[in-house]
Amino acid sequence: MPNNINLVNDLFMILPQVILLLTIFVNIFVISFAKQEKSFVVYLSSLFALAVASFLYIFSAVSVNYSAFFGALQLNKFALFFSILICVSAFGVLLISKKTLKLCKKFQAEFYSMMLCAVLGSLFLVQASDLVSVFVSLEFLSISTYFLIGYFKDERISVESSLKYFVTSCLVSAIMLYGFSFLYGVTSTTNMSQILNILINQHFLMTPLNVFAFILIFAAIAFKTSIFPFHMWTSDVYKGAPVTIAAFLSLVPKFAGFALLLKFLPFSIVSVFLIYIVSIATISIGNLLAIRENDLKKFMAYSTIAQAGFILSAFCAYKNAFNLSPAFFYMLIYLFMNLGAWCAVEIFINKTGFSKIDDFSGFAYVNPPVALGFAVCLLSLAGLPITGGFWAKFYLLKSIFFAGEIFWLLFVVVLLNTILGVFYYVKIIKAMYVKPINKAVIKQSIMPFSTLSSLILLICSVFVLYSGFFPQNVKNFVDKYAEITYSIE
Amino acid sequence: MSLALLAFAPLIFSAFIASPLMPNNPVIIRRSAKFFGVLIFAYSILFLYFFKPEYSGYQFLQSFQLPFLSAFESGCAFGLDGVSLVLVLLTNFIFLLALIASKGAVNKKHKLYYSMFFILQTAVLGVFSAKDLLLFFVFWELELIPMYILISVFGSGKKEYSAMKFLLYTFFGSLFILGAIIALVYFYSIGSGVVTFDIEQLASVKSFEYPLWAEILMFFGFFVGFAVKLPVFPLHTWLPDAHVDAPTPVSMLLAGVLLKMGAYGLIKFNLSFFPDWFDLCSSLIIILGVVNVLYAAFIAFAQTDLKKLVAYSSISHMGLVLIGLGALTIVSMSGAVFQLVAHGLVSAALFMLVGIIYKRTKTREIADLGGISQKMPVASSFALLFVLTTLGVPLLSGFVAELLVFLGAMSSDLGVFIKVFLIVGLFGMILTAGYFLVAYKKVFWGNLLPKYLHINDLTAHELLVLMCLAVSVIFFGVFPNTLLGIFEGTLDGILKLI
Repeated sequence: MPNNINLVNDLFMILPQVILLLTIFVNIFVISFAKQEKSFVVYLSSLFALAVASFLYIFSAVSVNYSAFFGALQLNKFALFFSILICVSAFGVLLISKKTLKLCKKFQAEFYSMMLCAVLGSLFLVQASDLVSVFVSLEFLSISTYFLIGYFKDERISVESSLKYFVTSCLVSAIMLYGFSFLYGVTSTTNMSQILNILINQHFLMTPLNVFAFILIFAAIAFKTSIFPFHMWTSDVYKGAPVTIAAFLSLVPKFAGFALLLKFLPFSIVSVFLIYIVSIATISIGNLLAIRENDLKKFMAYSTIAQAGFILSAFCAYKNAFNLSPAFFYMLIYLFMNLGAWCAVEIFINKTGFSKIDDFSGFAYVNPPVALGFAVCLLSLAGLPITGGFWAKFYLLKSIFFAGEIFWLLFVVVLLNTILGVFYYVKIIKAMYVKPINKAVIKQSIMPFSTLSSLILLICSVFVLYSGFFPQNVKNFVDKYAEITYSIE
Repeated sequence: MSLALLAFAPLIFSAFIASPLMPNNPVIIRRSAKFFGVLIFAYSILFLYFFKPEYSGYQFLQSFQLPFLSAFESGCAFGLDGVSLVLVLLTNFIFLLALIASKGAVNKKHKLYYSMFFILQTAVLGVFSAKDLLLFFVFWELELIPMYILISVFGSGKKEYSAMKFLLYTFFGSLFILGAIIALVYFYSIGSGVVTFDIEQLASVKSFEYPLWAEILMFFGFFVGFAVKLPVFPLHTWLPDAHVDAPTPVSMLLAGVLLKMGAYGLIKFNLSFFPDWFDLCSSLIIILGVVNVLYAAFIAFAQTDLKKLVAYSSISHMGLVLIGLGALTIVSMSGAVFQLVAHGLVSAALFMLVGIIYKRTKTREIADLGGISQKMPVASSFALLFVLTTLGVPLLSGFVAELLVFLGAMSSDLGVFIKVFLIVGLFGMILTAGYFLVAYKKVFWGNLLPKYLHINDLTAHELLVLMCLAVSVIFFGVFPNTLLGIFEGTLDGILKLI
């Protein structure tokens, strides 16, 4: 327990969160008291706050290791990396959501504030080092997410998916709390590093009670990150939610969930084994479901599940191999390739109103730049060179193989699954480049060079290519953060 | 002399074609592409000039200090030895001819076509000149998407199916290669304590041995990957589809260059990394080769489609490469590498001829054709020349390859059983004469069908392509030593590993 209470110092350490919080307050104030809809002001201030937060995280000292608020939050390399991922992806998603919201005539301002709330919850979650703060920030994130998913309240499907997510998510939160209660019961503390110390020193890692508690917690996290067998909600919710919220769901809560999972990994001896099995299942299920899918948003949902499985398989190797570097590398590339793909989906759906893969026919000849950017992101998701996704997959495979004999089954599964990935990602490229032009789409679409989404798509695809040509630079960046710290006595 | 420049220049040029800087005018695009093709071919000739054939290792070494295309202990390193130099030259030559042949064959989406074309060239050149395993693999995979687009957008028939089949088969093969690469690096690092992707280092004589089971898995991992590409029975089924549905220039590339990547991999990795295993499996490889020769030849007999016939003859002739490599004597291996070049030239020419006939008659069915030599005397004499080359008539390049392969194989210390098998394989060559001459007679000779009265002979650019190929085929048939001298030193070095 830290003895001296230094509130100013503590607040300074969470400066980005403070800025976000103040922005949220100001925004709500503006929304409530302004005479007309002031959505643009709110939009700009939200963007600005996120930009400042990303900037602060990216340029803050990497060697930081600070425990704030009586050990409720722990800011270290690990948390810093996830904070960067969350802020940058939220910034990107916010930039592409302007167009989506135009479809919803009023209440745009609340949307931005809610998104900031979700970001804030995620930031607290990745920095939390106490069971209580973990749970509170997780709920903060979840409640904002229910709101966002059901944002188009006039649309039946949007409300339905929000309700679906709400009910299951509440159940899952209860399950997680149940798991926490066992940990607390055994150790009589809520501080995570103290719990870990007690578990290790008193040889509790193997006890059935501990395994049970870990499985409960794992189930909850698996739900949030849509990992097998808790992935069922993903396609329905992504389908129902507004496009940009689906993009948001595939990035921010996922990163937060992965951070949480990594924090809990050392808590049980079964964790690696569990992740071993689950990642095999997740990759295979996600890929198999994606093969037959024709709806664009559902397709992206399944692709996200498969990608989550790949990231998960990298966690598996971390304990036996070197560090978290392959997982972090994959996540950083995933951020850009996934965001880029969602940008293209957003452009397509919002411009044309179509949402099937078949409708993409001949899109490359209707709008060549967007199609090219989309193709680059898809190739990266499939893991073909020369893109960042190729190196990410290679790094992943190499670290799994180098982790030891028991992981070679996982290695083979990951290897075989990449062929399924190639098959269904290339399906979209085929639709765009090979099929004849879809006349209905031409009628609807005008050349969209002006929108922000095209710009984000450009940035994402350029980054994906850059990381394809200069993977070492990305690796150097990631390596600085790739370490999880617990003070084990 | 920069190999990296040679490998990446087409990629840069393809970006230039795709960019708005290049006007969307087919004539300008085509001419600048041809100009560039000549330039890159001329540049590769310089490598031949400065090459020292007596030296068996890598030459023109180049590696980047920059973190370019390299991470995880691998480096962006390039180098050429005799075998790869020959294949680089063949690549640039065939690509140039395919560029010239593209004139009549491609008449839409020129920007897409030519940019994909040059990405493909980068991929192939990179495969042949990479000195780093991971870099090799990057180029190996880079080839997939351009080829997919070239077949599926510009092809004919059930092109989408064929392109996807090609993509999935090749990717399936490359997964085996990737697995084997990672395993090889792992076991090398266990043995030597160094994590390296350097081909030369991995191929050098080692002070330790890999575990037996690991060696088996790695050897067959590489083998399956390259066997898909070569192709080896029973992994060959993508080839007829892809060749038939691809446009003529792309078929030329596929048969002329891309199949050689598989053979190159067998020499460079299977043979250099696991010489003992290659020695042990040599009987198996020869048997596979003979099966390839006979099986594909028999299927070729049953073909009614001219392009399919050429495609199956391709498979049949790649079996010869397998036999030559399996026999593991300097003579047979020289024959195998010689066959790579000879087959590259001849198959490109034959696909070109099929394309020429198809363009005029709108059919590839042998039964629907007849007597067209009366209208196309020049084309028919070229066709005769190339058919004779495939059959292995002396003074043409095919003969040299076949002679060397079978001479080397029979003089090796293989068992009697295998030698009997080889003699059976020799009959496969006679089968070639059977199906090719029958098809030739049916297509070119006999009475001219009335519907073909209006067709005309070769255009200037077709004549140019065929003339270049004919000259090189005859040249290498008469002076085989000019070619053999380049790579014999390298093969000698590889054989010393055993």
